[in-house]
Amino acid sequence: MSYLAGIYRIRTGANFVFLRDILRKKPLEIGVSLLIILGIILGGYTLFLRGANFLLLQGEIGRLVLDRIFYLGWTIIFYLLILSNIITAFSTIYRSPEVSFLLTSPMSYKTLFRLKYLENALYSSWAILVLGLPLTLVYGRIKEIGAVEMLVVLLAGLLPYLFVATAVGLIIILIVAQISRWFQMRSIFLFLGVMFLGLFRLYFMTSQRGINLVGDLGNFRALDRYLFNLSQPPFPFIPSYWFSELFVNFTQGNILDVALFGGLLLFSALLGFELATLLAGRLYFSSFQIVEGTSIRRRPKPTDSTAFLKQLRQLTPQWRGLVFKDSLEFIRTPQQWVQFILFGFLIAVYLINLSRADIRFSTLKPMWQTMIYFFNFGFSGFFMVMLTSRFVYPIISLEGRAIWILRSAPLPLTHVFREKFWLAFFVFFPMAEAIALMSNLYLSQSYFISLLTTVFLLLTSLALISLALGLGAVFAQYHEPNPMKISSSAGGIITIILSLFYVGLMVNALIAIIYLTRQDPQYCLITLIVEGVVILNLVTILLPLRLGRKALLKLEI
Amino acid sequence: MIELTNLTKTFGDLIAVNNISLKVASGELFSFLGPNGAGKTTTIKMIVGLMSPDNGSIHLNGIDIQKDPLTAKRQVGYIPDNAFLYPRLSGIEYLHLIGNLYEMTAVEIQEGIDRFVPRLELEQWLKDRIGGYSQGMKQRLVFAATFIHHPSVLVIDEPMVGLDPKSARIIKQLLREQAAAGTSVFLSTHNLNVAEELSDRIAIIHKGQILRFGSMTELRLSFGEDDNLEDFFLHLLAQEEGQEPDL
Repeated sequence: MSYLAGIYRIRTGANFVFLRDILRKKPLEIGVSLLIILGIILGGYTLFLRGANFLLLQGEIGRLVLDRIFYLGWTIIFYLLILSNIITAFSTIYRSPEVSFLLTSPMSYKTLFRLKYLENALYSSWAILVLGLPLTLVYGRIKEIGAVEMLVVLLAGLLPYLFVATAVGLIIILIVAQISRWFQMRSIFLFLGVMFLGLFRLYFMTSQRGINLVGDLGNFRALDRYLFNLSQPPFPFIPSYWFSELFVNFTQGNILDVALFGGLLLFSALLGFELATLLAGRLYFSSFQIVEGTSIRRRPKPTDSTAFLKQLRQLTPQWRGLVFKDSLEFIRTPQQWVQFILFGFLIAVYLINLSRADIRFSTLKPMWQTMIYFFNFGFSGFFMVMLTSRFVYPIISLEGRAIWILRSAPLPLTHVFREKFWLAFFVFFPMAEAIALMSNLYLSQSYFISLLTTVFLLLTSLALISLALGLGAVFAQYHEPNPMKISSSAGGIITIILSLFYVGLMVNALIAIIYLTRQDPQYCLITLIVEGVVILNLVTILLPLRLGRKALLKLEI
Repeated sequence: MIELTNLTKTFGDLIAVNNISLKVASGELFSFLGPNGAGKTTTIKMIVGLMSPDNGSIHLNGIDIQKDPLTAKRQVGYIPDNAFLYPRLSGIEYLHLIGNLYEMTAVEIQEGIDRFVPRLELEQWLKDRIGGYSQGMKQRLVFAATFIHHPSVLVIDEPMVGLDPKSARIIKQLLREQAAAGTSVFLSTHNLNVAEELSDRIAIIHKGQILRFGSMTELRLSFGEDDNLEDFFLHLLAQEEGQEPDL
């Protein structure tokens, strides 16, 4: 244990110096990040509080639903924590350069594993806990618990809860690493994912009996079945149940139950920790060698995609080269296209839910109709902001230290910007347009509304891509290879804020035009709004690109 | 031809390049020799347009790179030390990318590949991703990518970095062939053997200033016949530092 103590002492000192330096050098970035986190917590708190107050008005049913939401929330967080631990563990316990160094030291594998266990628990948990905090604060407020008491219960219950998730995640990764001797990791995780979804589906089929509350509300038998399920205890053998019961019993003053569930959490955390460490004693080093060997053995297959250049023969040679390079770089970065697919999946979920929602649009009052326009177009705009900030903003930075190739070539910088601009536009605009058209179809919108939405989305796409690309060049980070870190930097956050502000203005302009055309059409006002939209878009499309180009010209490599 | 006139570059209080003037004729192999931090890389980056000088001018075959950068860059082939490339592209994809950036046709690119890839012994690795290349392989790939577009000015920063002896021999041969074909070759190095073996002329730079300039014959007149370039170089640096030379 003296190794651990020594390393933690050094680490604590180093982290303190790092934090002190970063506060000095990047106060804006830290300030904005803290503001965002605070905003998420406050925003989540307000949203949950409104929902909780609404539920309380429904009497006993509402209270039962609230308790169930609390339990479900922490269950979802538990599974997210396991997933997060698995993802983080691969870098923490295998790929970290520190591991290679410490394996050459006289430190036992178990001690090294314990060190990485705690590190992994910290790295994988903090962001997910930010999600759980608003729900817990609201629940505590509803149950009238004091702030200090809430903090004590949270700490007492949360730490073992986290440790259990970490233990599960690390045990899985140790076993998967061993199996990767015979199978590719990708295949193993795919298999595990399918198995997990299958188990999940089985659980819901056997415990919930397929209640479809939406649409069945008018049916008393369905409601009765739902209430019966609500009163039954959820699955009692997972830490999220124990954690939520610990909290609920604390609010009710049931000390014995608090001790029981607290004890269960603590025991399972210690058991998980010891089990994982025991397994690591046998498997850690061998799995480390397997992972190292796998990365050397499994080189990407030889590739020659130069035939793709023939498909681009309509373009000038320089554009052809740029499109060729950017396309291949994107396709060959799983981190990029997997997230792109996830975005697509979320859109599909939105559209499927919209298609199945029984919204009789024409029977709604004008105010509700306007709200729906607002949310629908706002969602399309929000989706574009997410896409552009995640994929377009980092584009210039991702040139990385290879930027010398473009700067030393006889290549006008405007070509670089234009190529990336149009590539992004021809990928993202059709997606945004598809959302708008399909959602308008499901909401039975008129042709006028659909046309207006198309025009507005066209302008929004051009503006948001320009904003993300231009500011991405102004705040470029050529030394950072991780696109997610680039997007979440200070420049990325500023871009998101400006983009959301822009979308807010456009949504309001669109709603105003729709509203004004419905009443006595006030053409003067409509013309004014349209002129404002034109000026806003001219500025948003042209200015960031100019600034970005200037930044790239001034760049000295 | 490369012509530098009163070239100066400062970074805050540091004068990295201090009023340098020199000419490299067509077909000449010119070495810029100096210790770490002498200003070699800064000079090179100004020549290829990656940095702008604070004062002075740079002409490549008569074209001012600051006034007409695109035309000037069309003639230049640049090989940095420790080049960062696109790790997810394969070697052959990278060569096609460079060929397209220099507006070559597919036929020209293929001719260049057929000519230089075997010479640089890259055939075996050409379809592998650059991310899996060793430093030497990357360096050879960058050389191939530079040669295929037939630059009339070659600018190379530390040409032998990461190269094994056989590859180093091949590069030296290729550089001599390029010079013989009329290309102006400007290379920077702190490897005295490379400078001595390859160069028609050498400039010794220290703290941003050229200390000595000339062919090997002319430099030998400065230091005795019995001394070698290494001794002379160290003696010169020590003089500049006001120290006794450690020979």
